[in-house]
Amino acid sequence: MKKYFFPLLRKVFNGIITLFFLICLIFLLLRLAPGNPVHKFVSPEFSPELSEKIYNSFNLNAPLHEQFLSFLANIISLNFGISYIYRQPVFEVIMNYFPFTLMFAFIVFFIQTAGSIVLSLYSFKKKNCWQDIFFNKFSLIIYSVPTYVLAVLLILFFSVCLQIFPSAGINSFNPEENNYFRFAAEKINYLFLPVMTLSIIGTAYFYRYLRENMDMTDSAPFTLLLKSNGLSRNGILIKHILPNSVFPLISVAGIEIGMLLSGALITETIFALPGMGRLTVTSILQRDYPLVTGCAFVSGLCVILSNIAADFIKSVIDSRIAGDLIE
Amino acid sequence: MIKKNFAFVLLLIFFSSCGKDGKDTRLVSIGISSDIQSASPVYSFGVSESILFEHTNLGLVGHKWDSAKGGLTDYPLLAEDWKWNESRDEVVFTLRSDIKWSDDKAFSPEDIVFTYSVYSNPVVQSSFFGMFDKFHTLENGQIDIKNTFEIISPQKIKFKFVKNSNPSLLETDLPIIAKHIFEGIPDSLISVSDAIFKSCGTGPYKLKKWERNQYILLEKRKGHFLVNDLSPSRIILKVIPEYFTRKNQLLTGEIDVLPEINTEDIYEFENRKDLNISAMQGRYIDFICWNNVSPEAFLKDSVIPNKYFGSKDIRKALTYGINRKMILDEFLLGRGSVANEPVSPIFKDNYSKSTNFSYNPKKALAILKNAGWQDSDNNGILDKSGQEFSFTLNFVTGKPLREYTANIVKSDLKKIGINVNLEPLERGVFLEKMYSRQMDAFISGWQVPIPLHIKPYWNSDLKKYQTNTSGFMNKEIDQLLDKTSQTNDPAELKRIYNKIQNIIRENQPVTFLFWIDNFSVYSSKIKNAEVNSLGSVQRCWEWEVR
Repeated sequence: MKKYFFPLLRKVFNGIITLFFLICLIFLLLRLAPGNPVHKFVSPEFSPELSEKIYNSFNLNAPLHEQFLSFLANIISLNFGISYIYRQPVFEVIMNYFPFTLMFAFIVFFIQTAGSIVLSLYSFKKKNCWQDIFFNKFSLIIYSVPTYVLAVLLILFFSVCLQIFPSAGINSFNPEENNYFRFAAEKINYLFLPVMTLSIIGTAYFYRYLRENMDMTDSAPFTLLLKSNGLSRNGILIKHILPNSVFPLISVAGIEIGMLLSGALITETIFALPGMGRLTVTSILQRDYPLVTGCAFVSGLCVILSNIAADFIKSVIDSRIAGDLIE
Repeated sequence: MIKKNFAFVLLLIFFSSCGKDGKDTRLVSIGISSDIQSASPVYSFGVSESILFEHTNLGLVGHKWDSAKGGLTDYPLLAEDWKWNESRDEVVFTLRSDIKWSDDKAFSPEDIVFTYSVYSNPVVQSSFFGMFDKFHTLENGQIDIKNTFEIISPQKIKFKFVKNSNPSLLETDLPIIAKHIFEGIPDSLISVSDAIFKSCGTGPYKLKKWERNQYILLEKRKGHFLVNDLSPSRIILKVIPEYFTRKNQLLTGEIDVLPEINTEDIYEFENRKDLNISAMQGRYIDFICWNNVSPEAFLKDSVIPNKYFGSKDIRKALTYGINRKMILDEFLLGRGSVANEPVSPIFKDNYSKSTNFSYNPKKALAILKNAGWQDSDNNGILDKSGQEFSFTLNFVTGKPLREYTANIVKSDLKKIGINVNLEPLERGVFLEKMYSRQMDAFISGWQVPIPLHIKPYWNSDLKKYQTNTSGFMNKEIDQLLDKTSQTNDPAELKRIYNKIQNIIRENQPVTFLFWIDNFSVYSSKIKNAEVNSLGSVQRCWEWEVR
């Protein structure tokens, strides 16, 4: 375990530095970008004096360097301030949305990973048969479909035509009246379409990656050696080809899970889901500077952590790269 | 076999759980596009909040829209009666005796005084701040409580207004908040206190549950004087940001009410027997704003006429040069009317119709030539003193009607030798440029307020009134606008508004495009529901769910 410690520590340290620069950059970009958070309050009767008072109450009238120093002082204690639109501490607002995103992201990630492995194995076993050709072509088509198109198609088919699944939301209006089983069934019912939207496309993406790796591994000299030694085809596939093919996928999966944890904006908007993607975009459009910074911090943190996790898993699988894992 | 049975049982349980919400037949679900941001009316900045607070926090009186007369009528809410003094600057309200807060605490006139004190306090930054110019106020704009309110008894309260300020019941209709919820919180901390997330009201519905960005569940307060057995037992405001999803939810019966549908969807809903479409002549107007003042000079605190749009003749020519009827017919399928004035046709008494400024490119060209604009270098674009007539037209991204209008404007004006560059802007950027008057021309829109009040849009004090986005300045208009708040005489108001509309038409500070009709769809299980000029979702306690 010791051999992982220092590389991991170095990676964590690099992550903290990256995160620090990320939120500093976000802070500066927000202040330089056009737009004014007070404009959402402007109404015909709204006086410029009150407008200025609100602006000042957001501490936006102070010189940029003063704002930046105060921002840095707060960031050290992980205090992102009060959200302009939610009127609550940024951390509390994010905590209202992040648990859903966490659950949603892991369900999607699990389905797309498991789905792609099963499909790749099946397709590989049927190599050059019509099933293999079909999956290869079909995955390309699915991968090329924009998320919103697939979401709309799924809604039209399952929700409007068949009326099996609800088209938006995450629960009914009386979840407290449900028992646990009904509660779980209801969650599955409401999340089915959004999860499918993301995981179908994700599965196609992982499938293409994995399937290609399997072909490359299959043509590697060591596979030929194993075949010549008389090992069974299934044994080679499960014990040698699959692990070697999954290995490069781990890095891609690390990025993918990080992106999912940052929020899936289009899916969340179409299906009215209360996730980080929707929160981030709302905060950007409303010029809620503290919340934008908080969301960027969480997104950055998720991407960095998932990458560290991916590197760590890779080093555990292949101890040869433990030392330089993370270079 | 065991596996199959297990899968079957799972599926059975799963699908048995997939039914529609509950068995409450008097539940009404309404699709809204954005969530509320607080549960207290102190910060009521959006449409969703207006819907909520109308049902949870009553005012002393309410107002209904009377389509026949084109104006508001008052009706009692917390006050069962009221009496003005002879000079009409004091009014005594007799409060109902059966009012209780939703947490069962007693309601008192102290709550009313506290409410007005909080709303008018500049430190609190309430959305109602700035609406108290007819009240006695302190230097900071806060209502002078001692000189304004007199609690005569637990059932009677007197409002005293500034002499000759011509107050009406509209000054007394704000939603009342519970003093016991806010008491003890410093004014400066109200905006970030937990109190603004606690709903406590005197309305016929109470906020039962609020799932952020999901739904707001209102429950009927049994025994409340406004509800009856047929009123909706629960109202759900479902937050669905995407219009496409809201529409599908209506089609599948997941919601019962969809306010403000797109015009092109009317035909789809018309064929449904389980849905009723309600239509209303709108008070929403789109217009092209010609910046009457120079953006560069305005940035330096100076006001000089815009090099293109500083002249009223040029602005008239531009209006003649744009085929507004065609945009209305093509994009809005004729569901609306071409506008020529800032007063909506819904205000029957004060609206003066004009059919001038129909599409006439020849007349537009003639006016431009008279003003010295000619195509001297034969490049198809008019020029004057070496300056080509070429400007940028801005509009907000993501609004198909505005994008369509912009393209038609570009094409129409090209025909009369004017080059228009189209530049869509993100909403935040657009608003900043609009309020600082840094655009030459842009497409925007506004909703004429009820009661009719257009002073902020046309007053010449450009510093004070950011909403006068065209920078139009006219002393006669200023005087007339002041007079509108000094009289309640319908004949006098009609005369004043006619004059205002004539002056604005004559000067064309903006090119008014069209009044857009409002369509809303209701499930046929709801009776008594209809869209009117105040909106699509109002007084839900009067709806009957069968």
